[in-house]
Amino acid sequence: MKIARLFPVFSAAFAAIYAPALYYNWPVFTYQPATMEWNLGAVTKQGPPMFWYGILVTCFVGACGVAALAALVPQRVAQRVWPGLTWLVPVAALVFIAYILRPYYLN
Amino acid sequence: MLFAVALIGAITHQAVSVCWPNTGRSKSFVGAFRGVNGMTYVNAIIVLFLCTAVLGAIVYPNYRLNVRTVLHIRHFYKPEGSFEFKEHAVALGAALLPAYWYFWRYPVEGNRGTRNAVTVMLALIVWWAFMVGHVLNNIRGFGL
Repeated sequence: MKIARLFPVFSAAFAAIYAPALYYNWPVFTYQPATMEWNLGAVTKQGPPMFWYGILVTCFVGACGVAALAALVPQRVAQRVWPGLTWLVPVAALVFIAYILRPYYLN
Repeated sequence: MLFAVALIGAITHQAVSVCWPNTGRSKSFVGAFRGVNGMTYVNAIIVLFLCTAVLGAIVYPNYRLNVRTVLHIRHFYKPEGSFEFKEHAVALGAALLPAYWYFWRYPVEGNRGTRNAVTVMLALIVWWAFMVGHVLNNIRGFGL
């Protein structure tokens, strides 16, 4: 089995996990740039916290997990899945992100 | 900055060549611009995208601490929101790279539409990131 066939699954899964991870704030860790500290989970201390790096790791691990599960799916079944999901899921995630960022544009 | 300029040139070339292909030989500038072989750009685009994103991620805490707080205090919500969107778009763009590589490395006629859509999406993300980065970098020149 070529591991490369799982790459589109990884990309779509990353986007599918990214939107809720951002909305519900699921970072694996938080970086505090003011104090240069790293904390496990979503932690707010002195100064603005940076959840983005932690959210990237959450999504990376989650997408790797989904791709690993997809490896168990027989290829003839996998070939029936529409490849367009590879771009449609990230587009949907971006639309959702634009929606949750709308207060920046409405203020 | 140099990585970003090289990336925007490469991805624009490739996106135009898949949206508006030119199969014949053309002597015009536009025809030559459209007539590139997109396959040859793939690895360079992936490396440039990753280099640009990693360098951006390294300087990001400085922005977060020293620039974003100023934008927020001065109620520049639209530039701040544009950067937030850029940050997420770049993350999703980076995650698209494995699929992008796959669809170009194993071109199948049935996947052509997906390959083109992924390429155009990456191009739009790169353009958005480039424009927002430059507007924010020069925001004082915009009278804000």
